[in-house]
Amino acid sequence: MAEDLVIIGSGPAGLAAAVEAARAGVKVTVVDENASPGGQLFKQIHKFFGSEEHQAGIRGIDIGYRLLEECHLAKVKVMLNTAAWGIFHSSGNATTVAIKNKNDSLCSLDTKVVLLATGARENPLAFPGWTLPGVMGAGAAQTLINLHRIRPGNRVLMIGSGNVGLIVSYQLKQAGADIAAVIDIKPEIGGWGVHAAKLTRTGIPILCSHKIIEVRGLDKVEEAHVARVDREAKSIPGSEKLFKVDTVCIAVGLSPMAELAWSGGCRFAYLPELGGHVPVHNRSMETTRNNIYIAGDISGIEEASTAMEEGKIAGISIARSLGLLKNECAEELIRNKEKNLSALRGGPMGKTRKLAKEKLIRLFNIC
Amino acid sequence: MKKSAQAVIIGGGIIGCAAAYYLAKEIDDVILIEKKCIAGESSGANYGMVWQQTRQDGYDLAAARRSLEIYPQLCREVFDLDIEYEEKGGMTLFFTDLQAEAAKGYVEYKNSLGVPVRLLSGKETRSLEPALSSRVTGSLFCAEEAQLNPFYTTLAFARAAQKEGATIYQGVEVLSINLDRGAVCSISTSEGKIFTNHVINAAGSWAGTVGAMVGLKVPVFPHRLQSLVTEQIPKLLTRTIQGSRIARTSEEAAKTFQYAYDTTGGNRPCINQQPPAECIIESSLFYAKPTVNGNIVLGTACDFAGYNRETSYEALAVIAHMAKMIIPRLKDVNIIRSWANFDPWTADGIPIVGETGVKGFFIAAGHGTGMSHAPATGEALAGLITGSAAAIPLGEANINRFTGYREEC
Repeated sequence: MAEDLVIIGSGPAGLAAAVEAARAGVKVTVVDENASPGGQLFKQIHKFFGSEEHQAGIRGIDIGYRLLEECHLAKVKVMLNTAAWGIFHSSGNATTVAIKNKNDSLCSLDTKVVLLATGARENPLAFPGWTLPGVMGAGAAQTLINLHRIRPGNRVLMIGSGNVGLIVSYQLKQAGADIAAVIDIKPEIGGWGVHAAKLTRTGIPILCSHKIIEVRGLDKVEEAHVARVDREAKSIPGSEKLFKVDTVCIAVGLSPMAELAWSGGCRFAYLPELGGHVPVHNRSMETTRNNIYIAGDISGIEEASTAMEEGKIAGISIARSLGLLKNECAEELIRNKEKNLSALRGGPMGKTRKLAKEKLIRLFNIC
Repeated sequence: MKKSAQAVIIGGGIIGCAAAYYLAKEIDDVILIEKKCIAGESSGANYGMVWQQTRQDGYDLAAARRSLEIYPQLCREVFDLDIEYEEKGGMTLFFTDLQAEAAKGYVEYKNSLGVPVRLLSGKETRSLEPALSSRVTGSLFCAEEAQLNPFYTTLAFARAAQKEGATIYQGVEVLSINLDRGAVCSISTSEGKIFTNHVINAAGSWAGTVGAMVGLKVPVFPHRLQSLVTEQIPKLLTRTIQGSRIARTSEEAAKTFQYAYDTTGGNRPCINQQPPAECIIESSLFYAKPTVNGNIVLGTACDFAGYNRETSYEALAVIAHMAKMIIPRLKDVNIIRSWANFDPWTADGIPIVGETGVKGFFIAAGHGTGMSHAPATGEALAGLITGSAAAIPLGEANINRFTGYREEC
């Protein structure tokens, strides 16, 4: 058998797990379909919150460099431009990870344990004109400005006032774009006050109880029509507003990228608080299929900080399951990370997620 | 749930639904019981081929030809949804000169049975299907063959049956079939008991389980077929194609078109015969079906794995390699789905249809050819039960062709 542990996804969860496991002596290979590692971390040029333990005050991009350095020191193998497309149970106890490498040829990795740290994808939103060039996910716009240094447009309407919508609006502004408005169908702003305040200080209007009606343009976005909505989210006649924009960004939430867990036969639960269908897992981050672990947004939409803590728990648990960490030692480490997670899941928004995550673990035990 | 019926059909696949339609036309109170949902198993996951060139002489071919006759009429007069039935002809590809030689004899034989199959050169084949690789040295083409959407077709039969008065219960499981002096008198289900004198076992790969309820051994086994589905792409193929196994020796080539079970010397399949144990993924036939929506369904890799529904890396890789070799432009096409289903398998490749040693208990199962056979099977079965004249004789398809069957009764 070639590998101890194959980690799919080199974002915060995958890299944090790789470091923990490799330090304990696990032979780790990380695969990622992108050309560079780090997942979303390298797009996150803002400072993180939380306590010092959670690297608060450090920018996401710097956390990414730090993790990569630690992976390098721990001799973690990283395969880039490599897409994993299936998880199969081979004879015996092995798991086969089917991959496609940069030469486009099919091959596979046999491994004792798999960790799925595939992250999330942006939810789409369909409205008349949504396929016009210029309509894009907020995450895509963020990738363009922060990674590729390309401004997607000059005047932007942002749909969604969650943290992603607020942060990306601010970063688009920093990149030199005008933000016409941030709209949200809900009556309150979805994201944290601190991000909203930064935006409003620059004079960008945040319009709650507003929804997109239509985007128009000949062969690209030229104008966006929005309207105020009533309590049933129906548009109020006469309240229509027209924004002359060339870009419309959609930030209406994320969904776990869990296809590989489906393909691996893991049991799922539907928990809207966590972004939809998520694989059920236990305290060790192991799913209902032996030797398939998950960490990060695939196990419920949260933040990079919680993803890293979950990744560490998975890495430690995997090292224990392979006999490379004593149980008492692993237990103490895990309890420590659980304390961190608990702190990160404080506050009213964190609490909903905390309860949902606890439910996910309870569901594991009922099977 | 209804308390009694003239006939109860077990299984909501294409065979059960077709039987329900033809029976409901003749008699009142037909009930169909399905454990999951209509077309929830193999009938919703196959290549939708209505072919005759690959069918064996006798019942198998007669049922396919009769179905090719009936389908256009069903589409015109009966079905209330478009089943995407297209008579585009079917094509079996081969890859070596030795196979081209073997094909000549096969075409003569098939023509003598009335199957209008023609031998095409590699060039002629590519003029019909330009996307095919130059490795294709020729093909067998039969214009009188069709393709359809298997899911819609099963649903269309179910709806036609309901229109004729049949009742369909989905999500209901049959627990036992009760006999009175050796004859069927009722069935017990998860939702209650139904009194009936006729039960039709149309449970496909689960026909053995249903047969055991009346003490019969029904030798149908789940044959796992795996498939890949491509994204929607501009038209690449016109019709469904089948690729033969590559033959490099004349011995192998002679077997290329040998679909028939060897019955020489009175050799009959045995009721206790188990499916072959060895893995046959490597030697599976290739299928490519262009759907109306622009996806291409690619198969297949077969093996026997019980009721394990998982796909395997080995099988999917084999299909991908075959697809790339035969249709090179698929190299850059994305795969959006893969699935495994249980094609019902019998030792001689012929389904089991007809009455049994248990009075009132009928079988219509074991169809690896459900789409090709369904209308003819449903029609013949309804004729058998109601006593009207049969369009095709069912004798050869009876379960008593298996040696050892009588001892079981």
